[in-house]
Amino acid sequence: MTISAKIVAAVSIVTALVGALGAALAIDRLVVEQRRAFCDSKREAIELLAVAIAPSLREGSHHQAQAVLDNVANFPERYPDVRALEVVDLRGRVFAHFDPRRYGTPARGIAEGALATATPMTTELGNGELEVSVPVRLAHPLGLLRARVDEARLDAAVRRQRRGAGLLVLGAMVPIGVLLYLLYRRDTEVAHARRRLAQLTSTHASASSKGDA
Amino acid sequence: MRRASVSHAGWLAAILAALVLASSGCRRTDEVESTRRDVIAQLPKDGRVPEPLRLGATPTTGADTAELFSPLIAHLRGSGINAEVIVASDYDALVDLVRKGAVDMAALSPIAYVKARRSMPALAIATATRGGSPTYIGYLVVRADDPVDSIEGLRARRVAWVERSSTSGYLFARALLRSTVADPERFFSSEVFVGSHGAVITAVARGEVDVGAVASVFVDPGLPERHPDAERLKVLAKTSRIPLDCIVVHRAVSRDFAEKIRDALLALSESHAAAAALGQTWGVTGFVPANDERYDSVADVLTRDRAP
Repeated sequence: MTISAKIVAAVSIVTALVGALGAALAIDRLVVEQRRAFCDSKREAIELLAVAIAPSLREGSHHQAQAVLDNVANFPERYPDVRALEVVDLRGRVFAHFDPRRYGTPARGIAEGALATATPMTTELGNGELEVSVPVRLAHPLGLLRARVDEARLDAAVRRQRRGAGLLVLGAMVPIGVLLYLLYRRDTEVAHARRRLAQLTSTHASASSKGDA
Repeated sequence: MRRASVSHAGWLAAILAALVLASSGCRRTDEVESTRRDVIAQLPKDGRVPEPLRLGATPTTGADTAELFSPLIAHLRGSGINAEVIVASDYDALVDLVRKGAVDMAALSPIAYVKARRSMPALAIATATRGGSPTYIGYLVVRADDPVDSIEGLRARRVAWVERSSTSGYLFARALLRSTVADPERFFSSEVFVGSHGAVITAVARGEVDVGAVASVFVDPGLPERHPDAERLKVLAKTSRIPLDCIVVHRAVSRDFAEKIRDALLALSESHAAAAALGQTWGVTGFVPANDERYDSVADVLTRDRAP
């Protein structure tokens, strides 16, 4: 491999690496932003739902709270990310649930006394799901609304973006590589032609000098 | 040099072709998915356009069936569909009418639909809604002054069911018990079948039994169907969601006509007068597009109930 070929290859590889690294960093930053926006939007939606459910919880109208949850459960195409919703009263009992059979049973994973002082919380469950819990309150605390949110759509969007960025980097690198290769070929051919010309000239010159002698 | 250019052009063309194929593949998948979702696409384009449209239904205790469905018939007429009601003696007879092509459309209970959906030449196009919901819930109710606060606390007590074929008044309540206690067959000390939701509520309220299984609509405050004795009861447990009745059309009906029927059904809830009238007679105030998976829970309960 000639020095010029090595330079061409090295420039191509370095350009590709820098491009890929830059794209990866940009995508990672974008993903962090997207995840934050996703969590915020879900928490805000669940907080609004808590506001809607609060009067039912105060009046003990479990059927009305259940109707709100049923509306979400019955139309998954409208709420594609919500996997479960649960309303817990101050006694720690399930007041309404995505699975109505849980009505009246003790809520899972809630520490005693935590309900009255609950604050909005978002927790990564680690299995591609997010738990959002917000307090239900009017003038005073009434209970808790917990939601399990599926991150599959977010993950799919992130994968699409990564793939798109990969294709973009590849799409940019291929023409650059082709261009560098063509330049290299042109330069080596020019050099080759010059060398041949020089050889011919030197052969012709030595033949002429022999003839003269 | 020329050969090298051709080779590069070939690579670039291959990359572009791969990208185009990948994107067209995505579009194709979407198209297939949307076609699969819309069941009406399974009907023939050049199928029947019945005149009048024969709507099969079953009688409801204490009501004239034709009268029951008259608001729906009037609504369909307003949408340019001339329809008449054909009354079958029961759901088996109604499914038989569908099989023979003697009705073009039928209103089926979830159980009747689930039992016949694989064998009957019909497609579910709409699910009934009540108060905007295509589902309801079954309750296990006890007297309000009963200190019991869990299903386990009902052990060795007396239960009242509606009837063995009742979805909320027996089947789903039994499914709830099966998922909660180890020995549902011997769980209660005695059981009676009293024939109606109202009779179950009365039996519990009077203390003739300790617990009863009823549909939520007869207990929830603020609903016209609420039983007067319901205020003396409390809800101890709830079943999973139960889908409401579904409307099926015969597979020989034309795709366009079926779409016209479905559009008319879906528009019912927008017509407040028609929805209110149908709500008073049939307890249904609208329709949503049918989703066959919605009825899988009923199939599951039926299968488990038959299992030893």
